[in-house]
Amino acid sequence: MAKGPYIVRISSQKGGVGKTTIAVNLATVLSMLDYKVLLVDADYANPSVGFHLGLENVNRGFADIGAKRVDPKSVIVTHAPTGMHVIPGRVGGKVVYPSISQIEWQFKILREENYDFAIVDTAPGILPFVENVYLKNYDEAVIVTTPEMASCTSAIRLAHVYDTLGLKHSLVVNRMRNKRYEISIQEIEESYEGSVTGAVPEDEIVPLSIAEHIPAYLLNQRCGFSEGVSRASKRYAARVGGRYASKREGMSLWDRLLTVLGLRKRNRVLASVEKEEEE
Amino acid sequence: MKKASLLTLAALAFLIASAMPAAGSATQVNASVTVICPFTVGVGARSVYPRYGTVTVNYTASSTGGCALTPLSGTFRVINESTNKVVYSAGVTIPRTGSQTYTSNITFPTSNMTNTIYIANVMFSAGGFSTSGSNTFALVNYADVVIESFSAPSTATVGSTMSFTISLQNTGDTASGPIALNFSISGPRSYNSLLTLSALSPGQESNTVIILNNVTGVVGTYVALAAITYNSYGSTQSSTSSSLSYTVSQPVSSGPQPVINPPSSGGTLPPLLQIPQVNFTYMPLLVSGGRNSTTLSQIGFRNSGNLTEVINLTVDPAYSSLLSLSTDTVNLGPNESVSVQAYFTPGANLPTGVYSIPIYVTARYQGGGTASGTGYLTFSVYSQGGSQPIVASQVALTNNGTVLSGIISIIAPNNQGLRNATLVQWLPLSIAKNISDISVYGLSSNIVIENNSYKISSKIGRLPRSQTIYEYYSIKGPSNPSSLLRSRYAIETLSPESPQEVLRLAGISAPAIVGNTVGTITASVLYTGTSPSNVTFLLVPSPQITVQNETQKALAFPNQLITKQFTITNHPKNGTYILQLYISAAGANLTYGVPVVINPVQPSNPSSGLPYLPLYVRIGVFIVLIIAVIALFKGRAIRQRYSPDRAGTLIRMREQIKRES
Repeated sequence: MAKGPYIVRISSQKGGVGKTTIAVNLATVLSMLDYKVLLVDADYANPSVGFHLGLENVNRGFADIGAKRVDPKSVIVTHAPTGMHVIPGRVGGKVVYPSISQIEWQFKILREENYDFAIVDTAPGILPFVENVYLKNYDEAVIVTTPEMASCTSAIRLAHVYDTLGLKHSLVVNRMRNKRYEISIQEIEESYEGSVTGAVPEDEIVPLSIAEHIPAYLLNQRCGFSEGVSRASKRYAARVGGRYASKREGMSLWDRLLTVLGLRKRNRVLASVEKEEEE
Repeated sequence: MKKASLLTLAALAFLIASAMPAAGSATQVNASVTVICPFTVGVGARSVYPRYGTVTVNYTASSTGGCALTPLSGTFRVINESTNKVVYSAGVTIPRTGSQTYTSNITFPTSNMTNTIYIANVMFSAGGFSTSGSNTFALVNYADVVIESFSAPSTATVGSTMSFTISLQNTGDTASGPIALNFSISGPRSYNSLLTLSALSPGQESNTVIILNNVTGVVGTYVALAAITYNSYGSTQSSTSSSLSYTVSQPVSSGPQPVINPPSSGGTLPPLLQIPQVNFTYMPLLVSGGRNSTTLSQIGFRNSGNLTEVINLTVDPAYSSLLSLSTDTVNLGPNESVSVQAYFTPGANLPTGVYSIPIYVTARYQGGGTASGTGYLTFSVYSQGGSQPIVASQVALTNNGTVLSGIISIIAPNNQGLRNATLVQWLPLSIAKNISDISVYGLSSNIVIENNSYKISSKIGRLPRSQTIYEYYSIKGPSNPSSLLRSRYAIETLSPESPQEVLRLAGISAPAIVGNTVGTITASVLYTGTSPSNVTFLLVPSPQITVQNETQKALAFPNQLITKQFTITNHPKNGTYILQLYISAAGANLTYGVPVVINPVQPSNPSSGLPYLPLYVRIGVFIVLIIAVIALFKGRAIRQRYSPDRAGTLIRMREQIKRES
């Protein structure tokens, strides 16, 4: 799409994999890299972006734009610590799922805004009661999964839906514990037919950040979670360009040394990202 | 109206014989005859209805035999044409009217219906015969006219022509009625118009251009608003309003140099101006602004007389390049009030100081005389560069002077945003009796008394470049408002942490070396300042220990870890020595005592050639090695490991999903 922001759908087929945490921190990192970011909570049933950012009292949301009840600009609030713009969810009131025409209207509004990125946090699965054609409005879908069999299978199922509709997608593996019993990145890369753009470890900073209503990346930029999200964010930054869009990002000095000396196989995630960028 | 198939029900006779007649007895016949007037029935409906609320159709029964209609009961049904399912059913009647035709309405809800084609059917039955009539109609969405775009130039100069373009499109399923376009402009000049545009069929677009030459008369920022309403099948619909803003600026001119006119030193400002029949209801006590910026303020008037007045406002010509008003003429009826906006725009080269700008007010009665007076707006101007943040403030007395309200706006520089900044303002101590009388909101703030002032520190987490953020404060019972002229403001871009925390010691080696050898001290410090700074390391030698490179410098960027190494040599005397390490950066310094342990020289082991190690050290090293090896193998055992079986399972599931979807 030539006009408007690069619209990213943060999605998963299962709940509890950390979509909102990834969406909030992805938007935070991109905003701190001086990209103009709009974070949208499109989970009509259980909006939670507001809890992550201390905006839980803003009882207006994306649904109000679709229903043409409000001026779209009046729904957008500024997250003061980062300067990013946020359309939080409507916590109260009856849950009303939008029609196709309402969704088309929402995306029309999004396209008109002058942002580099629109990060849209969604409910698990595909929106019920409407056909999947609305997904064509996104530029890319990020599938969030955890390294266990049921979640990975669901991610593959969701990827198949996206493939059917021709929607570009990528995978972020969240809550990695580096344990023997969990599915390794290599296994995921072999089974998932797309680029794995992030491997984010399980980190105590995440529940703390939700309790404090501050994105984890702002609480500690050097913890494992923040570094994982930061690496993934810079890969998405490469989609729109800019000086932070570094394809070398994600490789530690030690990794680069081993790679130069030929003692280490190149990082598969990095290799897939670079290959994609070269194409 | 569609007619039903004709029922020719001439008469219905039903004969009941109670028994066969017996021989020789009288014959008895019981007969009951019901006669129904023949008629047809039809349903009247429009071809299309919007799926909203209820739908009303009618049914008509007409006699075909020239007789009066017979009372009958029947059923009305609405049937989905594609599924043949009845979605609505209700009883209907033909009452005894004595006439040959009968028409009645029937209303049903559309809440459970979808957008498709339906059959409305009415049927009357009697004695095994029936007659029915039906009609089809479709349910569709309303017309949905939206404002596709609303555009105009974002800047203009005084007196120029403005052109606004409004594009509409009907994105609904049905045609709209004529569209009413409400177009308004608010700002220093206001404008309102209501245009009627032609109806739009589904999918149709239209462009409307409005050209105006009377909305750029005064400098300022204007907001134009467009909203539409239209009729769709009897329902009034409206779209989301669309707005844009544009700025009208003055043509470049070299105005006269204003005369600096400091306020009187009486300690209090003069009372609000009173002129016959006109009261100033609101006049800021003090407005401050940085050079090369615009500060918006306002002046309030009320006509306290009982006649309509025309009030003219004039800024003293010497200051006309500094101050402009949103209007110069106001018509006020008895007891009417109005606010006039005042734009204070000190130029880049304006001398700093306090300016009291006269505003001449003339009130003219209808058919009567003229009264006039002069009010003063006081401005404080201070210096700043284009790359510096702009702090502007306004102060006014409200609630009959019992509360002083202040607004402070902080505008980030054009070339960079603010991050981790602190707005510090010092209010004179005489302004309030107690610290509890001062309330600050809008930004996270704290108030302390320091250096004979109230010091208010407000945190600004992040403010993107050219963006504005506001802080508000109020003071109950202000005792000396004019003392606010001594207020000062500053933006501190230091980290909110105390200066010592800008440098954080991340690691330092405390070596234990043997006498007469060379050792290395490594110090790492984390710099957490907000802007790049030189960090200086100084390791001070002692009489026993020599430092070869005692002073080292490095340029540190925010959140960068700086590591420096110092080479030391020592004299043979054993013991523990403390070397002072000083690390400094802009606004921060750190001191740390580095203990250096010098062990006595031990004889070497001639048989092995290895340096001598005491037995307990050797045992310790052995235990550490054992633990390290166990940890290494244990770690490998629990770490994530590639499993071909799991990968194969996932791939099989992927193929199964593809195959079965």
